[in-house]
Amino acid sequence: MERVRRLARAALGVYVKEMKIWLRYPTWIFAFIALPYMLSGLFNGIGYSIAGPRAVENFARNTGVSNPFLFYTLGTALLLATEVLLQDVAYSIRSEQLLGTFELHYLAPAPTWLIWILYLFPHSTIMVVVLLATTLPVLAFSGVLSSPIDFLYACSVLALGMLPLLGIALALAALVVRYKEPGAVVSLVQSVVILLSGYFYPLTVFPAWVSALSQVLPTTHVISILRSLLLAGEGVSPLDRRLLTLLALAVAYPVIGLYSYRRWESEARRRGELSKY
Amino acid sequence: MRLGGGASFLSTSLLKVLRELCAAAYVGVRIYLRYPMWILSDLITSPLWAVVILLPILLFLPPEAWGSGVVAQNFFWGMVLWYVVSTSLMGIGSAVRSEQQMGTLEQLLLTNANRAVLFTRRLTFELFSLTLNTAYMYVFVQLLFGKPITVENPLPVLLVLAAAMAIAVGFGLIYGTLILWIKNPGALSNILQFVIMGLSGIFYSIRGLPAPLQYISYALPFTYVADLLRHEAMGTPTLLPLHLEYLLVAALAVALNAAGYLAILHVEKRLKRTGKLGVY
Repeated sequence: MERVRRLARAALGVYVKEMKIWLRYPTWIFAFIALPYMLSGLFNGIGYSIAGPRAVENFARNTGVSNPFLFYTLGTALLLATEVLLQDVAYSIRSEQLLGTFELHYLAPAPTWLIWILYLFPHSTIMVVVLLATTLPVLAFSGVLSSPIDFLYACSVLALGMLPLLGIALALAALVVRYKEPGAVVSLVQSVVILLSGYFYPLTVFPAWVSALSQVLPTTHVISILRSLLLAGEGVSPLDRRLLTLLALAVAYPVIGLYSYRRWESEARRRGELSKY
Repeated sequence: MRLGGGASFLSTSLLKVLRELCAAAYVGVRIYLRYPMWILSDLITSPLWAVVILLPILLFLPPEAWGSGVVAQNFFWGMVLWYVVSTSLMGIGSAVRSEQQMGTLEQLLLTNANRAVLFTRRLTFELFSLTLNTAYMYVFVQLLFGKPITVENPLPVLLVLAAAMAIAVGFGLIYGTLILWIKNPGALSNILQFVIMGLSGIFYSIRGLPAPLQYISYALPFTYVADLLRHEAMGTPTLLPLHLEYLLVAALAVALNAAGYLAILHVEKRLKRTGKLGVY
């Protein structure tokens, strides 16, 4: 019981600290809300400019969706949410290292991997606000939000899709603990995830081997399911292959991530490299 | 230069600025080469990002038009201009913020070096990065589309690119001064980047924009750079008569740099007087 209480105190401490930092720079939150609309507007503007009046017709033929604005707004919002979670732990560690407060985390009455995971909660809160503020108006305006149950189902799929990302985030965090400067590697991983997830296009545009490769990413399945639910108005059965794959990834990735983190952290401790950066 | 020697005031000043530029370039190159993983990461991620940006645009075209040479050309020059806008906002404009965060801003402002040179020291590796990325995209876009990227008038294209960089520096100085003033720009750089790209016709002509938005486009300096570059590279018609557009771009390059330089001096003086230079 005491352990739970201590953990709850640590969680509250991390939550309050990170939320204070977020709220210190509210322009970032507004930017996250505005960016999906801006990027969608940019794609649509260029699309209309190069394709003329047949732009929407071509788009529908290529994607099966007749509302490109909704398609890109939803895609960008999901991209922002997943990418923030993906890089969050790694950059939080790096930021603590640069601030000189990294070592203090080892004095906390909770394992460090757990503390780093706790960083995800305040960031997830902001991302939920961003996702709701971005997607709800455009979904409601487009009239595709058939029922609140569908929306809740979509939210559950999204939450399930975040679990494997937690595993990838921990693996990236392990890299920071071991190799310190994470920017280049995180940027590389992010680019591959963005390319293969299909936030802005159906994956059928790629050769079959690329589509097959993309199946190992949780984001690929999340986007595909959400498009079916929200854009195509199709039901997704709980036994749907994509949902089952997502479930399997939600178990596998956190296990791999946790294993990598603990192994690399203990390696860094053994070599005395924990405080070198 | 010997004191009391024959050198004129102008030549001494020029020599001083040149020395400062060399020193700034040296620092820029040292910093760039200190992180080879970033160079490698840039080389790998650039084509990936290009695909991520290109595909959503292609979806508006019928699949048979995806290999069109015109689309390939528009896309290639759009990417080049995107780098220029990024250099202005992220490279030069945000240099002030990175000096603030590293805690070196006060030391820099204690020197008697030219303020504009101080804030453009990232220009060296931005230029290097721009050249590398342009060459890389040139090969990549040709491989992707299977169409050659041809340049109708190579020399004027180089001239326009030089003017584009001059405008980027001037615009970046003004934006950097704003950051010096407001301290933390938050997400302003990202928002501004999309607004400029959307309204300046970086990937397409602004003629396709709704009429009210076109008025804003005409007020943005990058609109004319993008228009001239496409004209010289692809032979598209210009928004204004050609000689007038060249004149305007040259005037903008001079005016923006002068305005940026004066703005930095003014804001620095004001911040020193109010004691807010080191507050951030």
